Amino acid sequence: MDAAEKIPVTLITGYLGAGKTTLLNRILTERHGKKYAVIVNEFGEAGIDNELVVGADEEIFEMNNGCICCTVRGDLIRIIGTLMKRADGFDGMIIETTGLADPAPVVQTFFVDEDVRARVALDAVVTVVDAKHFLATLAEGHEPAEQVAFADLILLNKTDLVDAATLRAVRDRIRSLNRFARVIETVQSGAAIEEVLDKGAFDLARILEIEPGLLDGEDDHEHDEDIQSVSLTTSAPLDPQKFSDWIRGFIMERGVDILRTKGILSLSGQDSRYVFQGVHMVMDSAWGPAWGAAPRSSKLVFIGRNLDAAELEQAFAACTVVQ
Amino acid sequence: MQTQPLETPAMANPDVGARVVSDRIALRDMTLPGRPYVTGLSALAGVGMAASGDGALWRFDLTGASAAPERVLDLGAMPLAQAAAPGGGGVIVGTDDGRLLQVDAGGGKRLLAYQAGGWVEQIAVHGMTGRIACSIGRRLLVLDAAGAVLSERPDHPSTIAGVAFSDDGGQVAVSHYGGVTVWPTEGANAISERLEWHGSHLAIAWSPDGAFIATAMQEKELHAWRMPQGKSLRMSGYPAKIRSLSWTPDGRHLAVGGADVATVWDFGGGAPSGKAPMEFGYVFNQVVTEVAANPRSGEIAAAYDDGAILIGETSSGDALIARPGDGAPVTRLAWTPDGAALVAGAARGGIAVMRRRDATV
Repeated sequence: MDAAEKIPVTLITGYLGAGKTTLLNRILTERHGKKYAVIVNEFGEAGIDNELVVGADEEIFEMNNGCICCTVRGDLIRIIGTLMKRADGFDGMIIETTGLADPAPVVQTFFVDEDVRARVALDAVVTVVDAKHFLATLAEGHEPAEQVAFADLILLNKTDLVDAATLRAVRDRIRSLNRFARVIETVQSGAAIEEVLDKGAFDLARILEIEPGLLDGEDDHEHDEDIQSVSLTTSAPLDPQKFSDWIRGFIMERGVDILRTKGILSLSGQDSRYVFQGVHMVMDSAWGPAWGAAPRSSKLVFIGRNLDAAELEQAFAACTVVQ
Repeated sequence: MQTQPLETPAMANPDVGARVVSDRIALRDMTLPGRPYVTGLSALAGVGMAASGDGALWRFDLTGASAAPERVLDLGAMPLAQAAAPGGGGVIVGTDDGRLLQVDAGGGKRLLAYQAGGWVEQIAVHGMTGRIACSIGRRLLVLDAAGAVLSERPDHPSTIAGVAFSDDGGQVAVSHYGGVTVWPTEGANAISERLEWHGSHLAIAWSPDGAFIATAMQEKELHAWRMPQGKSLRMSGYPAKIRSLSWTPDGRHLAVGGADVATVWDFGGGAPSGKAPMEFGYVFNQVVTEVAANPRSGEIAAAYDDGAILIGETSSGDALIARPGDGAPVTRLAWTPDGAALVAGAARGGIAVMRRRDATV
């Protein structure tokens, strides 16, 4: 089954009270012609206006599959398997995680099970941020930062409750954690639903470009941030073997620290783009469209911890073909 | 990979349409109206009962009459688990609205247990004692044949993924994250035994002689423990997700489905290690979705994701075609208690009954 026929799954994450359920209910109400299966934590079922709501236990196990080690939501694999047997079909699936959830196991689940991969496809990670409390929550634990780092789309919510200076400070912090996600400022999670659904953020066939987030000038604030985004580019063609050896070793060794990876590469001797993306050690890759007459260049981004931009730039440059 | 010869030369042709049912098998194909996914299937004496993804329970004839399947009950919920009821006159069904039901072949139903909001996902019935075990999330419930609660074990390391009785029905084993827990079926303060092995254990099967507990894991591994000692046995990894386990009635062989062949492990002599498993039924890139050992003979049925079904013989490795396949994966496979007929359910409403033409039983 190709990507177009798979049921899209939207993951909504964010700290307690940020506005996840408001967003979820907006999707369900506005797309009333479409049928969604909603999966939430079992205690979060109340207050969701939908026929098909499944309470999940968020049961995570650590899976060792050869040299890949990753965390997986076993309960999601089971639930998705059962949902697929239902006679009443549905158009999409929305998973809302609890406030302290780490998005990684949810995302990885969509790549490690063949039955899940065959029928559903993760569409995007949407993180809802409470503008009023975000900066304070960062001090309480690592989850709020991770939820932002994992996002493809961030709803910077409750902007009506903060002044312009606070809003700018929160926006800067978000940018320093995740330079690649789209940020939409909202009141009551009021982003246009077309911006939230059908993003294809994990669809290798749709990763045609990696857009850096728009910055208001250089980010020169010093943040005591342990998660950062690093972007590597080169217009020199990459040596496929050198790159493969480097990236494999890097991901295996440092996978725990690497939250998300995305790349569009120009490989020497190949007419097609090479596209890949990953979460920790779980990577997914494919040949993309042909370069044709377009100028060839490679772009690789990492969001993670303990990333030394200089070290990475040097290692990446070493993978180019020696002219 | 050792491929075994298949009886009909037409098998050499990879074309699905070229497959021909063995002339030793009488095949009857039926389709449930609406083509729903067959979620549960039980082969009773003379009648089969199936559950489907539209919430219905069906009965169909197994005596050779050509009647269409009959809808006997609308559950009003998604059926998640099913097993033949004690006595064989009906089925035990678990639903996604928290009900454990006994339903007879005429559609008469009786509520055995209920947990609001729960998913009754796993059911096992012990033939001789008639005991019923079911799981609802992390909770295990054991009932006697009349439906009285024998024991309740409320907590396990994760949602229970599989349930199996010991040979004498005195114990029940459940699979979950980190391994398997074995409980006595009775006794409120009974102590459990934990069989540990890191990972997510899914399907579980306890050999009919009680000697081994086998599990299929999310990590594409098989695992087994020798009982009653609980000694872990090393088993090799599997090339694909394991979908089905079935022990032969003598407890000697374990059939495994998930790859493009049915794999049969020999547990004779106390362990499978060191012996290459037998493989049969290579059908050119079709995944084995279900395996079922005949309760009376050495035959093993293997069903595929294109709907094809083969019946193999453990002693010779020969296999014959019982069903050519129509593109829809087989989801359930069961032999009748006398071993004379094989029944299958599929993903788009297909129900097939296969009977040996020369059956003397």
